[in-house]
Amino acid sequence: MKKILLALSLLGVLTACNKFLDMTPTDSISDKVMWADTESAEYAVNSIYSYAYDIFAVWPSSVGMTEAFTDEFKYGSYVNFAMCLIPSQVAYGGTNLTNSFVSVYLGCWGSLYDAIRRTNEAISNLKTLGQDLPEADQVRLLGELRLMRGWLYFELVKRYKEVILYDEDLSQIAVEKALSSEAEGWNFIWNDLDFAAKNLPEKAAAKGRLDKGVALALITRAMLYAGENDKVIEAANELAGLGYALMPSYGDAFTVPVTSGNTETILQYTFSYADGVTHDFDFYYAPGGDYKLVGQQGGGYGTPTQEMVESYELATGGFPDWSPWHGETLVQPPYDQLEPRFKATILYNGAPWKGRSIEPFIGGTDGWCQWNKEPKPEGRTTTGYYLRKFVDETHNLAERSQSVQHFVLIRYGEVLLNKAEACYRSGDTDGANAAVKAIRSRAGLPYTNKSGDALWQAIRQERRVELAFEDDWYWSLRRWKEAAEDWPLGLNNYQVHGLKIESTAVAGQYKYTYVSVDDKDRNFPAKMYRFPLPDGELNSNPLVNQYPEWN
Amino acid sequence: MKSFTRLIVALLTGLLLVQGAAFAQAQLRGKVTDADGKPLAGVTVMVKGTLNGTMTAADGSYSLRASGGDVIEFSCLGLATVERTFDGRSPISVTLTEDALYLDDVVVVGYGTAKKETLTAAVSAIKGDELLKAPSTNVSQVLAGKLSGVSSVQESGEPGLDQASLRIRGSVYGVAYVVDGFPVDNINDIDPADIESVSVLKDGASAAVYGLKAAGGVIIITTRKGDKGDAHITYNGSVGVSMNANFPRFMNGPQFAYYYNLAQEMDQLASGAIASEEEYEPYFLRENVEAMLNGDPTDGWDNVDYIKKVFGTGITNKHNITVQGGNEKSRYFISGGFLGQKGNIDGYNYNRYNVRANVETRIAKHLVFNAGLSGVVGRRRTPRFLSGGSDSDAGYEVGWFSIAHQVIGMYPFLPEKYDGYYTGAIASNQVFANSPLAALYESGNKQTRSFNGTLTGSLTWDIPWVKGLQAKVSGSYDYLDSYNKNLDTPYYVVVRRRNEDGTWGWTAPMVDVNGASDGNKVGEGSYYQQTMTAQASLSYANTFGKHALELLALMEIRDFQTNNLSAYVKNVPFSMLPELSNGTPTASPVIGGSNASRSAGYVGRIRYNYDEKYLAEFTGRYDGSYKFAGMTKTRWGFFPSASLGWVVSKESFLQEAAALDNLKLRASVGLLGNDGVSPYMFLSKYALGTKVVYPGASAVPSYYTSGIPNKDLTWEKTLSYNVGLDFSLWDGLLGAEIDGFYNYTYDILSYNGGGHPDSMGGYFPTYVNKNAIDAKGIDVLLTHRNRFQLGGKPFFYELGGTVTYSKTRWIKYNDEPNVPSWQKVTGTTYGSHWGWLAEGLYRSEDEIDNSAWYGTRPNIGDIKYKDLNGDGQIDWQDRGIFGKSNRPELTFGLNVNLGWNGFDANLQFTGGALFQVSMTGTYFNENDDDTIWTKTFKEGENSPLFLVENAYSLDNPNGTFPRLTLGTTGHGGDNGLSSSFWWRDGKYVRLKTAQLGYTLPQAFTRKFGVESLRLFVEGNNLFTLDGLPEGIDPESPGVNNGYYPQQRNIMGGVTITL
Repeated sequence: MKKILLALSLLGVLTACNKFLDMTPTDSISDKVMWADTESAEYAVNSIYSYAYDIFAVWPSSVGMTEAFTDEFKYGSYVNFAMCLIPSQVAYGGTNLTNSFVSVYLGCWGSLYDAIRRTNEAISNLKTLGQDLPEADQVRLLGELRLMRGWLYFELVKRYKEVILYDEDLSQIAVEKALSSEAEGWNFIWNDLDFAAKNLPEKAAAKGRLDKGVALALITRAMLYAGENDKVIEAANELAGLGYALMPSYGDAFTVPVTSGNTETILQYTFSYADGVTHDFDFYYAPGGDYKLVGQQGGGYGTPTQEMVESYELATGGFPDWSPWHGETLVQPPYDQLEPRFKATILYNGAPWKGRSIEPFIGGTDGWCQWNKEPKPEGRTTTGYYLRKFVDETHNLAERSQSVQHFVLIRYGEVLLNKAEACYRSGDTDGANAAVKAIRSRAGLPYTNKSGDALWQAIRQERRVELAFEDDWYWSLRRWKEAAEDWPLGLNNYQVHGLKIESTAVAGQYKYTYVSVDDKDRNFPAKMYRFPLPDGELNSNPLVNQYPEWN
Repeated sequence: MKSFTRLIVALLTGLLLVQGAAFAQAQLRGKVTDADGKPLAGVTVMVKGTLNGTMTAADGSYSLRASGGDVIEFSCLGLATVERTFDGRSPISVTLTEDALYLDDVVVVGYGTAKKETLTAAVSAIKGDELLKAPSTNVSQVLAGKLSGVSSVQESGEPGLDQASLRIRGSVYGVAYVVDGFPVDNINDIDPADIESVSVLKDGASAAVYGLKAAGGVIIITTRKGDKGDAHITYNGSVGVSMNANFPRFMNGPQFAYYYNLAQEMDQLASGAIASEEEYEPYFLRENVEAMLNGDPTDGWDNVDYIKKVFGTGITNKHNITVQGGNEKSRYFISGGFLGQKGNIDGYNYNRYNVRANVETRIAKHLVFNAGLSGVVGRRRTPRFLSGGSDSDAGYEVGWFSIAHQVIGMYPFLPEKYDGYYTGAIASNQVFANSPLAALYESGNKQTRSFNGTLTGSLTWDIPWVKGLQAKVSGSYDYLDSYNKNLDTPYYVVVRRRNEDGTWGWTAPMVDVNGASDGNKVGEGSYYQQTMTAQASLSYANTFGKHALELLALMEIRDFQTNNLSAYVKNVPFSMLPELSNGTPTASPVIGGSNASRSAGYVGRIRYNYDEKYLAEFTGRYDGSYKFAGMTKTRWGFFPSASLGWVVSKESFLQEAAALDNLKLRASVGLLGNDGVSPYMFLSKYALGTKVVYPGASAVPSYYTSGIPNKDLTWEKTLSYNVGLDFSLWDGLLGAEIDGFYNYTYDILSYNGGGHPDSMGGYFPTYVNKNAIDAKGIDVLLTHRNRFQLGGKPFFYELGGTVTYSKTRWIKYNDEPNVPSWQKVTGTTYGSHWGWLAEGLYRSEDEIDNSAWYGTRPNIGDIKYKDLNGDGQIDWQDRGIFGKSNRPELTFGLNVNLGWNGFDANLQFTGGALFQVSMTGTYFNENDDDTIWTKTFKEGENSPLFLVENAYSLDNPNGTFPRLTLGTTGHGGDNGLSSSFWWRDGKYVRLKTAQLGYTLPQAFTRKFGVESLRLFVEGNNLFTLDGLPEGIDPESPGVNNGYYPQQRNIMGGVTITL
């Protein structure tokens, strides 16, 4: 009897001791705390939201804006770094484009998979640990997470076509995993975005979080790549019913925040200096004079090219004759006659800015520098222009260097162009013409309905001008399989240019000289329609092989 | 019946005593012999408590007058004192036997004690007295060389931070400490005078009872409990001075000018900036050097030894008073101590106050109560800047602006002050100036005050109805409180600069590294931790004929909590009133947090011997840790051990071997654990991410998962084997304990990075139980004791030598698959150096033509590196893991005790061999760097003299160190990087401590009521023999650019017992 009692008490002590050891950490936050209620669950989902910013500003390329790989934009020549010489090396293509070069500077396979895994992890946690949340919140958060997953996979398939598909069943994540077909990828993306579009609240109720409009807009973007034109049109039409509309002024579309009545913005990424959430776009792209005037050095790392400037029509329609400026002249280029989207996108010699005039000439406040011949180009343009779009005119650099102007990640203008393209592809000429006309009307440009290749050229022209510097042109050229063609259609066998501007003895008169800002011709090989698999995948996953065009 | 017998005895004794008192003084004679029956001369024979005494003659005989009832005391150095009561009958002849110094009868082991004779495990032990034979400031310093199996490295000499790091048998884990039965974090605050004994549990059999904590071995400290008898008061006090034991000489002003010019000239020749020596335009001009030497600092030049200015002489004070005594029912020990260290850099001070009280009392017939109380208050005060240090350990004191570095970085040709400001020099990688004197005297200060109080108690119940059965409950409460307050006051210095045109000028006063924009800054922090431990045990010990059996069952739980809080303000208007409320909050004004941990364990032990000849012991611990998941195999672990012993000398066939006192063979095996890993790795945890701003709202937090949970994660394990041999010959003329061991450590928690495809998105545990290490070696303790007559007085001496050899290797390491073989960790010696293999210096252009090189073409005098992959160039691929670690594989100690006619001396030598000191130092992550010790004029600063004097140069083409350079062109910088050139054999012998004492004759001191009075002088780090460049210490720390060196203390003191 005694023995039994002893054994029983020992067992009791053992169990008690095990309980004694069950502790909850006080110096870190664990699962149980994170998914206990809607408010904290939203904290976990917030970290996914930042991927939207990464997709727009970080992952497109680690060396600068993707427009620099096209004829639209040119970085300086100081050193062999990102935002300097490397973007030009990408544009020169040829033997530069080794597997590892492309993987490091353009690929984001690993970063995207890390984001996908975390998103899947959050979905898995929501489904297992978040079961006590109100039903509606569970559905809403699941919608946000699946929207982001679909978006992340869109970015992956856009670059790599055949990718590895993982859903929230984390047990499936393994070292050995085969690629899925491109069709399976688009299907996966469609399911996520469609779920989000069907389950997320509309803009007003979402209070700035991912909403139905974002899902529909992403469908128009992604399904264009997938060739699912009906889905693009259907989503664009549904979106139109949600109250989105073009802003009367093109420039306002980027500077007016949604809280001040921006009807065009579908997804805005917001910053706040007080909360320490800032970016440094101005540091890289503001006119160099902005910094010089406050005794600092910055700005002008990359500037728009003459080729981009010449893409703009006259305000009355049609293109000016630029041939006088393809040599040497004392005549001011016809900047004042160009359509309003030019002035909202590009700063030129004499452009009004922060209460002064831009001086992109030799010795001017904003300066000029000969590409790859002069050292230290930062703070001086090599093309004679500066970027206007996304640069904050209200930014007082003397006060602080960080930028807080919001970014417009998706806007209704793009949706109209997506719709135009889908309509054109599916033979709906009226739909396409209506969309193009809406875009041009806002810019004050005349338009007559077109069809066939003329219609296509109109759509293409609007896309180039309307979405300039919004991380679109490089990807669109790849989507259309035009990038590997010779310039001006594609990105082969050409050099980009700028205007060298010098002041003359006559006040207000300048000498303009057309100069190449490349030191060799550019090249886009067809294999760049898809990026290569990175070594980190090939070395460890025996079930994948490098894409054939990269072998 | 029993009580009746006792009464009779008492009556008879009383009768005898009365009778004795009735006798008058009588002549007492006798003879004193040793264990072999040989006569002992020079033995003191005293009537206890009187001045009446004599010494034995050459034939061992003595005679003195004594009264019946007197207690006669026979004492001789090196032999155990014997007391006899004189009953009036002469003669009294006694045999004196060896005093057990090393071969103690009883040693403290885990959760109990064991007879040394029947011990089957590998345990080293010393008595606390041994610790007092050195001018130590803390316990860890004095264990070096005294205990076999323990290696000790002391890097810093800063007051309050001068503890040594201890390792047992080359283990990669730290040592677990136990004080009076309870685990503690550190032992350095214990006053050495309070220590009764120190035991080191070296093998699995002895340490397995500590389960999860035991992989690095265990050191058990037992404090004094007091002896039965009259109260004794002992005062031990000493005072002395401290100074740098070892510090390299640096260039003085003219030397700096000379070598700087030479280096610049050579750099210009090498780069082609000048074509011949004639074209060189000196940087320092002859008139500059003359101005340095003209003794007039107002001309802006001087020749100041800033090292001497900063490193002076410190003062150390130690005082300790103990009171102990007891009677049949109770005994007590009370101690109070003070340690005052005034460092040898001004402003670095440390004071420590210790109290301890241990009381044991039998509160009822079968019930004994023990209580212990100890308190330590530590106060450390320093200037704002750290004294120096390294980052061999991430938690150690580091800093480019440490005082030690600022001293070295200072230009010796600058006067102390110019225009009322302290002068400074700017290292080329910094924007702010080094100015050691300003940093010492004008920078503000840091104060730390800590209190550590421990309360322990136990109740032991001898269960009356079963013989040998005992129940015990005990508990400990340990409270540590630490408070610190820092004041930063901006200060200004002037910097001397050479202008483009070669003239020299001074800058306007420049603010120091912390800037002035925030004014005076004050930071205050408080931290507390409390540990509660409870134990309950049942033990049984009994003999059945020749069978002896001991059983133990014990349960232990431990609860640990911490909390910290800090606050910071700036723009405090008055530096004399450094209070938080006087300032304005900084950007992050308040920081706080808490932590907690728990563990639980069950211990069982069976000890058996037959006739004290055949010995066996089995132990087991079932241990649980909060760090691991749920009620699973990963949380609870079983740590068993078994050991066997055979006392061969007790066998009948060896009874004839007269020379053999004792011979024992031992063997053991045991499993040990280590849970020194981050807790809660089985939980999915979240970290604070970038805040997110939704339009029209303020920022909301975002959290992301910070690691992939690993529910399988468990502790690291060590399987430990030991075989041992103990013997003693010729009555202790030679004693030995020899142990051989093999420890295999596996399931080592390892970073789990490589080998996973990117598509997994990092979804794999960051850490897994994977790697393995083994350590093998021997440790030996040899003792030799003897005595002879010297000048008619007995001379006693004793030598104790310890040797520990231990080699630790990586057996399995998670090497990246694609690295060359010389970069694979698997198979290398633990802690090996990373770097290139050097093949000497280039001596000719031909040699350069025919070699591979790094970067641009090297020059004569640059280091030639080996092209390991043979690709014709030297790059990172040619670096590998080579050589030995900077922790000695072989450590040895020699302890010498001498005694003669009241004089006693102790010498403690320590040494190490089979290790390489990397002069670049080694980071805690095992990477190396270049430092001021390997690169001349690093960052334009001063260099050690050995580096420039022995460098290859135009004036010294046979120089043994790399080319003299300013490091600005070509290979100036590469030479200083880690390579085998800088890995120097570290073998050394050091006279670690020495003490000489004289005890005044008792006959004399007792006249003043003093039981014993001893005067002593002592010193440590007295000399070091090594093969390293001048001033480089074999125990020098990891990567450093200056540190507070080990101190040499010379002290004198007195011990008085009343």
